[in-house]
Amino acid sequence: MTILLALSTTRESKHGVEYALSRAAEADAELVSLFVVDRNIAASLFGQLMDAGFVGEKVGRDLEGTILKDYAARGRRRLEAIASAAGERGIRLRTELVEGNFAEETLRTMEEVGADLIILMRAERSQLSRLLFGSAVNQVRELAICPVEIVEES
Amino acid sequence: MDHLHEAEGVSPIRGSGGEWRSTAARLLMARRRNWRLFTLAVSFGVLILISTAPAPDGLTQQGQKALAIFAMCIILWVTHAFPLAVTSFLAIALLPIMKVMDPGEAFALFGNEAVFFIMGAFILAAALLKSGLSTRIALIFLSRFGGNPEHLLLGVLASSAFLAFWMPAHAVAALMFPIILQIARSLGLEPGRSSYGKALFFSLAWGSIIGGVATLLGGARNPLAIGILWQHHHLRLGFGEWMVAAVPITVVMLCCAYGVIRFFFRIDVADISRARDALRAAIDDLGKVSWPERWVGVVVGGTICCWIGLSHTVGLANIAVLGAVSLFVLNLVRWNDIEDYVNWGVILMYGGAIAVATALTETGAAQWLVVSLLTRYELTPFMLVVAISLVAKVLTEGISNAAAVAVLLPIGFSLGEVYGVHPVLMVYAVAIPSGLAFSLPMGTPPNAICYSSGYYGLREALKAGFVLNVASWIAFLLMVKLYWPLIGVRL
Repeated sequence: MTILLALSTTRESKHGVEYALSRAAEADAELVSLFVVDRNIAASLFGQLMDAGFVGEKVGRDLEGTILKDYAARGRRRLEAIASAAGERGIRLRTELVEGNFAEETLRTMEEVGADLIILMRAERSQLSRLLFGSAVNQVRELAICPVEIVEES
Repeated sequence: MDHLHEAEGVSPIRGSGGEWRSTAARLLMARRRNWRLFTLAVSFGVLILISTAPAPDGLTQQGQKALAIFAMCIILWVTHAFPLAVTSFLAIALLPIMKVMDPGEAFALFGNEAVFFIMGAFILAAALLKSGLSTRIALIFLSRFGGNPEHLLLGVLASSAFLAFWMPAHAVAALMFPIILQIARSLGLEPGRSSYGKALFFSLAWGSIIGGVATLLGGARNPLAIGILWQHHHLRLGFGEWMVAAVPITVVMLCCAYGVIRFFFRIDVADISRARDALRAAIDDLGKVSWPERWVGVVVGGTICCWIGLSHTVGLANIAVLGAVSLFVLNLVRWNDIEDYVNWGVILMYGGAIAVATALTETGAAQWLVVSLLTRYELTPFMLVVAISLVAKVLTEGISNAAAVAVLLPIGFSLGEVYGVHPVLMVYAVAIPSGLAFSLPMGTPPNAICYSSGYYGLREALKAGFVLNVASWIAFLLMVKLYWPLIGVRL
């Protein structure tokens, strides 16, 4: 059995990681821990700066670069911590740090590793907020071809 | 699958843009395209529906078509189905096509004085960024506040606000973001958990936003508003007059912002010496002040002095253009440098917005809208200011500040005529609150930039932002009532 744990800059609670590690240990499953450096956030920011702020491309690109670099550093630290925790419990683990769109990368990895279960984390938000700002977690849930479990972040 | 590997280490980052996409990912992209097409269809549907419906009493055919274009612009500006500038560009083409204005008249509005002022101001801001002078000022300003955590917080708020007096607030937030990130890292503040980290990024966002209303340079919506004022009433508003009216409000609002930040976010660090060291190191890295930096400082400082002292005699736009040209004469910038820092869509956006606003007034559409739909209630002039500033604040949380001004000001002028509010006061009552979006990341780029840091969540932004929105609105109304009469801006 393969469990895919999908994390991103805004979805990385300790509680959710702990849950995924427990599930993998219980089922003697391989855990694939994916951390998506969410390019969407930086790209939408770049778009907003160009579109509403009318700043030039250099300012936007510099800022986008700063943000993505920071997210990648955080992602790397998070995956290292998970690798260490998995090693202590004897859980087979593979990690991937990828830059892209959260929903797209999760779905791509699901197909690539043949995941039997996806574990996602979701911040507590109102339905209105999800409607207004969209929900990548809902997109994954709708389009995944395997069961999806969502851990609500408190 | 060579990018996936065993647990002993973490694979290097890999981008997947342009690579194979799964069926599910393609479905996802198709959904986004469909949403955009749906929005475009709705906006054009509204355009056709309003322009072809039987004209109501009191509204000319030209006015009806102007309203149809206005409604289409509102939908496109709010949904961002097109870039803001493209929507304005489309509007300026539709005005002659639908025979609302002559082509010459419509396209001439791109040459509005406000548009050239904005161009000049953006070029000067680009020179500040390119020379590194703005970064040096920010670092030196901040380093003066590094005594303790409270002072540093105040320093972030004050330095962002001060820079936004002289440069677009969006550019200030983009410029300051890496500095604040560096401070947060040096203090080991954990994103999403550190209360002081949240406070620092809120200070940056709110400082730049508040500073942006103080002068005509902090946000292009301010010159847009005075451009629309000129088109409607042939009244001029000088750089100094704006500052006299707006700077005290800025100071009061900065106090409110500091109070809200301290109320919501406790200071959970005791020692900030590492942040002080990081700031010192950053200043050392910049080296000595270069000659281009000095000369850019002289040109920008001189231009600002001329704006304050000579805007009524020489003209805001003329001073801006002369200031921008001086940069080239002194060989301080090249045209390519400027293009790196300025998005020229700004001209299309503001030229188009002024054209739509002018069409609404000249065809009598704004007056009709106000008289037939909005004058059912007995309002005092102050109540009108209360209402319009509230609408501006709500609107600007969801759409761009400039779009909020473009939508509200033409209607505001007509309302002002009915209820007896002077057009200059109406400019302040719309433009200042339109610049003050404190909650939603989509409201204005400084919010979006700081939100992207991951240090605070949407819920915190909504909660603290709402409190500041209310506090700043009350502060604004108190200044309208108590301070503006002292400087001759009376209701």
